Amino acid sequence: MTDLHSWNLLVVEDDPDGQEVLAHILGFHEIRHEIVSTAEEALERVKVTPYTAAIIDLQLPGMDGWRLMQAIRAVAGGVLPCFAITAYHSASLAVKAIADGFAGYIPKPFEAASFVRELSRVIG
Amino acid sequence: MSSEFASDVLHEWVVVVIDDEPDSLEVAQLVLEYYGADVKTAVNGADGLAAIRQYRPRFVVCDISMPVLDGWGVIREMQHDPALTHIPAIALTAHAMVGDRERALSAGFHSYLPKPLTPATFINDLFRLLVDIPEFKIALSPRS
Repeated sequence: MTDLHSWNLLVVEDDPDGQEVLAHILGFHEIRHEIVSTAEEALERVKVTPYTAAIIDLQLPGMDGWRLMQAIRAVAGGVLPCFAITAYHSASLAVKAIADGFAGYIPKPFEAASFVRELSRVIG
Repeated sequence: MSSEFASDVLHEWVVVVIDDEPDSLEVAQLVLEYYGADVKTAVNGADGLAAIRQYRPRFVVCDISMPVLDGWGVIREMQHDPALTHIPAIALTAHAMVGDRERALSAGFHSYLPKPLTPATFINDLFRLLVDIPEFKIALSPRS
């Protein structure tokens, strides 16, 4: 049985509506999380906090989600799985995200049960 | 695991994918093409078998439940054709059809992958299966 309460997630999402939806889903499941708006903030956070996983919007201002994932891998190695989220879903984008190193891929709009199921698939 | 492999690791590999479900077919095709494979697709077993005979692929990905000729028919024909018996075939089995998995192995499939296919599960499961095939092991060395 997955212990959601032991998770501590970093959410990197610049869109306020997206932040609200994610806070609602994670809050509903009582999953600990922090939300930041930029890749630069995220990189500072992962250096000081041992998160269980990072949820990263691919379309971020400044450093985008793809480069952030690579930067996190450089800092945290493979110990911090990164999940891509995007409003611009296509099957080819999903393939590229996984092949490039994201552990999971979750298109918007989110459905709470499948969102948590995808996280559980990787985090365990 | 996926990102251990270079995007050209399947370069010039001909692969036949047979599936009547468009979503699964698309995911399998996009993943294999991402890694450089030359993918031939078919939406039923009869067309798939014709593609296997025409292109002689490095391996086959084949759904079980299909119209015209199902996956059991495809693997039976492959097993009976000396020109095709050596080609590894991977069955796609619905998650609910647990009994199909053992049956797939005894019918001659090299291995099986559960459906529905997603890029994350397909990439990771596919490479795990492929590196288990002795003649593929060296060709599929992870990138340094």
